[in-house]
Amino acid sequence: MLEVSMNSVFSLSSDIFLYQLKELGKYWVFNVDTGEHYTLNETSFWILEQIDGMTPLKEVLARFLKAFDVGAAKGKKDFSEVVKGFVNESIIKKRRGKTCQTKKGKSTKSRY
Amino acid sequence: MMDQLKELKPDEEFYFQWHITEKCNLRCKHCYHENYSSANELALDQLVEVADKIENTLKTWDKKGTLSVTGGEPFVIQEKLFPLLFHLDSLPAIHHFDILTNGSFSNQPVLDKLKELKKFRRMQVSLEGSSQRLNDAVRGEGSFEKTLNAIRLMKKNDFCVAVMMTITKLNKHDIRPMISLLQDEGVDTFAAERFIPEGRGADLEEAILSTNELKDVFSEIHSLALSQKKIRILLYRPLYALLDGNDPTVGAMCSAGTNALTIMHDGTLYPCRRLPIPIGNVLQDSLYKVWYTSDVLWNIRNTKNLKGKCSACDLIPQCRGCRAMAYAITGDYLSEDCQCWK
Repeated sequence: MLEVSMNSVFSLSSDIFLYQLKELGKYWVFNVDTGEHYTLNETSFWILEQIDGMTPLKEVLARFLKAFDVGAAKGKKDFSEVVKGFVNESIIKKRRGKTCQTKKGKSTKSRY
Repeated sequence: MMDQLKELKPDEEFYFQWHITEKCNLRCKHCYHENYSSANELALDQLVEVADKIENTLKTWDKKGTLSVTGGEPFVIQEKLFPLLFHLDSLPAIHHFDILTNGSFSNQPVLDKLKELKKFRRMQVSLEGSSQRLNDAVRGEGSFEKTLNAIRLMKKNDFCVAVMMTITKLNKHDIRPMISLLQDEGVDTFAAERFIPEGRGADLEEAILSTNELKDVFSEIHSLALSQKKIRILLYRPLYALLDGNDPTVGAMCSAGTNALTIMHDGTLYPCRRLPIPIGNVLQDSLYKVWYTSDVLWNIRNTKNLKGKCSACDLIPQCRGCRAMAYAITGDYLSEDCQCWK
């Protein structure tokens, strides 16, 4: 699995659409081009919402550690895994020339 | 014909109601269309393009497609209808399709051609009552006899035939005679649909059943469904669950936003034909995009959005009310189903 630099800046891939029914505890990410969809948990959805094409991952991680009750070491590990998963599934992409240098939730891929 | 096509479970299926034309030779008083010009109707190559789009989408979703091809009157444009049906017949992800017709054009050559289709399941025609008087008052003079003749020809040709009846104050007392007639004619399936005042039917608003009238009609249909063996009576509609919430064959969640889309003659997509809110166009938009991003669909899926008595109902997982009825009466598709008697 490729390593992700915490100084990197990521944005959502162009065909990605996020949706949540918070009251029902349901979170999804959709690819409107390929039709694939992923069911997320609240934490991984929260991370995706922070991926805005401007904020380096290390800053997203700092917000993540503040927002969720998780220790720094475990939090960083989980955060990294989730981000790598998003990169591998092409849900997020690294912004060219945007490196400044910077995890929980597992995405479960499911077809509709 | 029907026996060769196994039933699908709801979670295996995605349903398209496809109105390939608005043109029609009848002008039924309760019709949900208001315009029959069929402006911007898709050409055959566009219909084929849409069918291929449906096929690819179903493959990605790992679903089997079921379709109702209708109009208007679909046999008015036979030059497009038959090539489309044969194309649909060739697509692996399509499980079966039905044709919803008024029966006017069901002659022997037409039926012979339909027999060549492997995935064609059944013909659905409409009758509004067991007598010429009741039916023709809504569907036009002579239509009762024509429809009955069409049913007889279809049955003679061993077609599976379904009959739809739209329930209003005018025919609410005619359920039992109607089912008796259909049994005598060898009709396979009967379904009753609530009348929703839209399109031409907006002028018939006074014919909508009250909550108590609907309860009586649905109770009678439910009772007949349990006792009649010769004809299958479909109860897959919202509100039937009020009659027996423990029987999975009684009642069904409205399919809008769940596993169905309606395609209009010009490619416009609706959540349901009776809920005519455009949510995209199948030629310009991917079905994925519409299905995943439509606010209307998401608002319907989020049951916490439902209002009035629907909001706190313990039958939400089985019913959710008819969003189209809510929309037709109040302009708000999230408001309560005004015909619910709970």
